[in-house]
Amino acid sequence: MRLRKIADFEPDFPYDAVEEDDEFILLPGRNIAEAICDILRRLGLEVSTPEHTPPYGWRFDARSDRFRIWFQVTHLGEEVVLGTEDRSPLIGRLFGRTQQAYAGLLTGLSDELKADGRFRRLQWWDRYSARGIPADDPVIAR
Amino acid sequence: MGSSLTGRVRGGMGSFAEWKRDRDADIARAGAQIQARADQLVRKAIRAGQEISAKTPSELREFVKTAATLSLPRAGTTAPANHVARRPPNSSRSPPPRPSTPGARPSGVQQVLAYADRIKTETTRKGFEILERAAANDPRVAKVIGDMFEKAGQAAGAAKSALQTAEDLKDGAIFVTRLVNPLDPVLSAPGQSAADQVVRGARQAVDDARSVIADPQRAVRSIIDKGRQMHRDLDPAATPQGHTAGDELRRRFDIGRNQGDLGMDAAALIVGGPSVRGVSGAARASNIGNVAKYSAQGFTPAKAEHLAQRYDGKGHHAYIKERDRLPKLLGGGPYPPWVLDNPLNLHRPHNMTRGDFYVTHALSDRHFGGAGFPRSAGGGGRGSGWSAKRLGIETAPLPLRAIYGMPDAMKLLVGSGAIAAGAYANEALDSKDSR
Repeated sequence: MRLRKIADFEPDFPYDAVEEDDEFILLPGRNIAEAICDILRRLGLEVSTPEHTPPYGWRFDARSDRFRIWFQVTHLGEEVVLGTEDRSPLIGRLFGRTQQAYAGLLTGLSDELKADGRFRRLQWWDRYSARGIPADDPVIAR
Repeated sequence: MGSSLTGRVRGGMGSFAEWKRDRDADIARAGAQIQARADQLVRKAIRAGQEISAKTPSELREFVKTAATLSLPRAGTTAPANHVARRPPNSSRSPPPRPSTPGARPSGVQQVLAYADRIKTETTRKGFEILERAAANDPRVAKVIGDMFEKAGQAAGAAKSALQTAEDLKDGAIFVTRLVNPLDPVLSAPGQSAADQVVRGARQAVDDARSVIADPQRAVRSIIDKGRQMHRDLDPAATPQGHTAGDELRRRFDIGRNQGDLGMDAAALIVGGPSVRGVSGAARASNIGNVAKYSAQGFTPAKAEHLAQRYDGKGHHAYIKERDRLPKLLGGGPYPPWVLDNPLNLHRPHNMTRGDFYVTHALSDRHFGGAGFPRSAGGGGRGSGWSAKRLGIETAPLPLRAIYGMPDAMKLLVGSGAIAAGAYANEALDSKDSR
């Protein structure tokens, strides 16, 4: 099983950046991060409040009793990048005990995002670079 | 000055009015010839497909010299003693040195400048009397004193440029140390080492020179305008002498200062260098202000301008990230700021554009995929942002990531360690050899 941990999509959200003197005071994407937090809560996870972390965007954690997943929302303009990472304790990750739960979470999240009209043209990437390969689903069975 | 302006001149060279009329005519003729010569040079170069822009100080001086010596009368045109044409003191071409922080101790260069200014003031007064007496007896002596002022001006001009460069390099100590650090090229992202930045500055100068040929009409205008101004700024014979001895000393001092400035500041004087204009000091060695670079990457002018601005953000945490948490043994939670923002952990580049910082960041941090643009730069949620994916930038392999995002302080530490190790090894080998 291989995971594509990064998603991008075209957002249909109001632009919510706070700018002053040609600079960002608050980066855009907070409303998008909060919408994703709501989805994760519906999936039964405990979710932290999105934190402003320039220049990346907005970050938050989602955790259950088995794992902790880190999220990052970066607003690039036409597109928004959603990064995720398994930040569970090392022991759990070393023996692959969290991967199944991580995969389940990404699949559930992907389904919810696709069903929500505010996240258009959703794609999942193995890496977010020129060599990255997109797919419709975050989990690729080997 | 006791004599009247219309008085006769020693040596029978004619009245001041005649001399002034002749000299003004000479200058007007020389100006027209410079214009024609510059035009001729450009057209010839265009036909031959050559570049004529000065790329080095010596080429620049040669151009000025060529233009200046076309037909300017030098011999036999000495102004009548005590009666020289009035001309406002020449203003320096470069902006004055930036004021230092109030209460701060003046730097060595500032002291030199203050000393030069004091000399100028005091010497102007004394020189006035000396020059007047000397010139009355022998115009050659007056010329020698004028030359001395020009030399003093050269020193002040060079010092002023050095000060500006030093001030632009507020973080110059680090830059210079990186420049001499043999490991800096290894410890920096591609194109971001101190040496790379210097080379880039030189290349930019050459590119600017090429752009002159890309737009011949503009080139002609630029060269003529620049040639005229440089001629006036740099050649004592290009402008009428001062009306009084004090004016003349000031004029020669200012011309000298321009010449000294030129020696230190040739890059900014390259004719038609749009990207050099407005870029000073160490910024020349970076891409700050180099809007063309980002336009070439496909960004709109407003976005390119935003990317070409100096990065003044928070920086990049190289090793311990904001998202990292303390071990439970230490109480969990985020790392304290003194750990996170420690100079050994926080990579906050100096003298780098936003666009270049994004590249360095993307190379060293797989979680940095890009950034949006504010409304003022044509962003505001519309259009494309800066995207590493779109620009084809790949996050570096794991061992290199630590190097590309390495803070300057860490580079210095590693570099110093390497230098110390090298010195120790050298010493040990020397000791061994001498036994």
